[in-house]
Amino acid sequence: MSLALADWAEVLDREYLAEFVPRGGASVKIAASPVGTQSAVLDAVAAIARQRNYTVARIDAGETRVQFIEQVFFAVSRQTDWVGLAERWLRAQFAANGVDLPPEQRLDDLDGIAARMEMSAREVMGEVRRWIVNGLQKDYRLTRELRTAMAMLCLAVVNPVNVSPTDAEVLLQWLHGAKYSLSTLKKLQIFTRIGRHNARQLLTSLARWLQINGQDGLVILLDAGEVWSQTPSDPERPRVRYTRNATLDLFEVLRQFIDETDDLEHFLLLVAVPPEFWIDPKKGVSQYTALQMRVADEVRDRERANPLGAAVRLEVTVEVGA
Amino acid sequence: MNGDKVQRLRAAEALRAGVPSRDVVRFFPPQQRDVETRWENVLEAAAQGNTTPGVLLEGDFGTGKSHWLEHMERQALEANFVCSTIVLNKETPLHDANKLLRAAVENATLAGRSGPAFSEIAYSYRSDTAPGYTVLFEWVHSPERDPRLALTLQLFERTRDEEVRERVIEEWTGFPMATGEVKLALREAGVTGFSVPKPRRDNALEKLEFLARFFRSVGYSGWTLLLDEAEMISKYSQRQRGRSYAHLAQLLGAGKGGVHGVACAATITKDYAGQVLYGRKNDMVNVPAKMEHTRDEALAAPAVAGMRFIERGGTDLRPPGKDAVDQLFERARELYSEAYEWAAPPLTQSA
Repeated sequence: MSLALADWAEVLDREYLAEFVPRGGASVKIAASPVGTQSAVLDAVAAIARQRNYTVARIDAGETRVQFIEQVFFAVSRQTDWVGLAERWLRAQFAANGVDLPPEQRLDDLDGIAARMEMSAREVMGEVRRWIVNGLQKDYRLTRELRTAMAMLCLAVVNPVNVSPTDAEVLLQWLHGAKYSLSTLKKLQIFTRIGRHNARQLLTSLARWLQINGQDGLVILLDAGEVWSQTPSDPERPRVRYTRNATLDLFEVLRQFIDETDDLEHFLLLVAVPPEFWIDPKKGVSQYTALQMRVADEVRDRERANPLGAAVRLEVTVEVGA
Repeated sequence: MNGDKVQRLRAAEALRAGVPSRDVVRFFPPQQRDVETRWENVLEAAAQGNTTPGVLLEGDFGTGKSHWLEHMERQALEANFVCSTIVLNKETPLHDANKLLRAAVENATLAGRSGPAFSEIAYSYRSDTAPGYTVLFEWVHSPERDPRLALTLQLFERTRDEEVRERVIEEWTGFPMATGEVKLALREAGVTGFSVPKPRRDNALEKLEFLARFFRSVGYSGWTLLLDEAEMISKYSQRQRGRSYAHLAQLLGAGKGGVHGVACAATITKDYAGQVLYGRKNDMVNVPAKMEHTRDEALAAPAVAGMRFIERGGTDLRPPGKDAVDQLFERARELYSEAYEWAAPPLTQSA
């Protein structure tokens, strides 16, 4: 039984995006729709989420190896305004301490800020460090790695060093999965690379960091259509291809997200899949019982589809181009 | 929307996926008094730094073994333990104690904290303020201990270099530093008059006890290990099964096993003894015989203890009776009604 996309999107908004997720809820949903309509499904949800003050990250399985959790994190990270979040956090600290900084006041203009606070630039820097040590670095809702990275980013925002790559640039390279200077990163008190062992926790912390900075949370929209695509890859623009084993690894990643919603807050992951997700004899979800059991609707109404189900089937009407 | 409603909605989400999450277990705690009592005793003994046999839950698929582990984790976290839940699989096999140790460290959680627990604890560790540091110091310096533990603890305490501290943490969790690296770091930290032995490869359980004591030294009650799907042992080779039974005994405190400060529970399918210990594989006879005169000989006695524990020491999970099922339905209906502010009608049985 299927649901109309518009109806389901309305339910998703009302039951998840409007209040549940902003208040700390988390969910993983799988939406199956006809081949080639995955983008339309995600567009509908993206529009709602963006209206509601979420950070929305779109991931295309044809461009990102989504069977690797750290690649999922990097894809999300590249769509996150880390510097903007650091600036927002800093401005909130100034405001909480009675310092009204107008939007045009640059945070790296310590002299300007010092004049407003009637203290020296050095004293201002001291205050900022104190807020970071007593506030950010003791906010145990975030993993230590993210606390350290955000602390260093905040310091880099107010006191940028005139050397390239700057501290902020190196931190962003680390967060984005790009090559970075190991020696600079170590000077910033970060000693571990981002990998399978910590990527999920960083995603968890990112969702919380967004909420701390006044957003509703993190919505990840994963277009998994490519996993089952039979279309030959364009050699000019090669796409990621998924073997059976890679697909099973992706199922494991999704299963872990479902099992670990305990630790997730302010988070929604929506995976758009084609019907092959259910029916492919080699790469369908029946090949991975642990995920199948979590998303199949063993208990269901005879006549109506459950719009709150972990997995739904959607009817998507795609307008033929004019 | 208040926090209470969010918790109910979270539980409803988890119930849809059939996942025994913390929120589900909060609203549907498992009910079997003998298991509850036994686990309370295990936690109490570990909190006192003692050992007592752990809990081995036996049950068929769907009898609530993982649900129980989630409940036990919640109780342990509330009792101020560091907790690690490990699902045994090909990447975390019971026969490889080093991989078990690493998985336990990676999965360690603390109440109220995000991220790997050990990293959180070690990062803020100060020997001058850790209330149990003297006890830890004395234990690590006793003659039967691996001397590298004492040396690296001293390095951890003395160095101001965060990167060196990170490397020491990695050493304790199964990735040893090069001996030259340790020597240089000790010298730079002002420690002299030492010799650095090579790292041992076979002391994962000693490191486990060291880490449990490390946690206790800063005020935690100890370390809880929850091992899910111990029936994976049946998929290993005979030698690996022998090592697995030995490690299970050592962690569960069967025979002369037990790790001070560690509370352990594990799950296993109900028919394991019949199928594997006495069935075609006949491990009860073949495993100890095969271990004699090999490098695993020292594990033969613990392996037998582990197999005996599986045979006789497990606790059967009893499926709920009709009354209990009816109560669960009613609880689920109440939960749903409160979560969605809608009076869900009672279930009716169809013919």
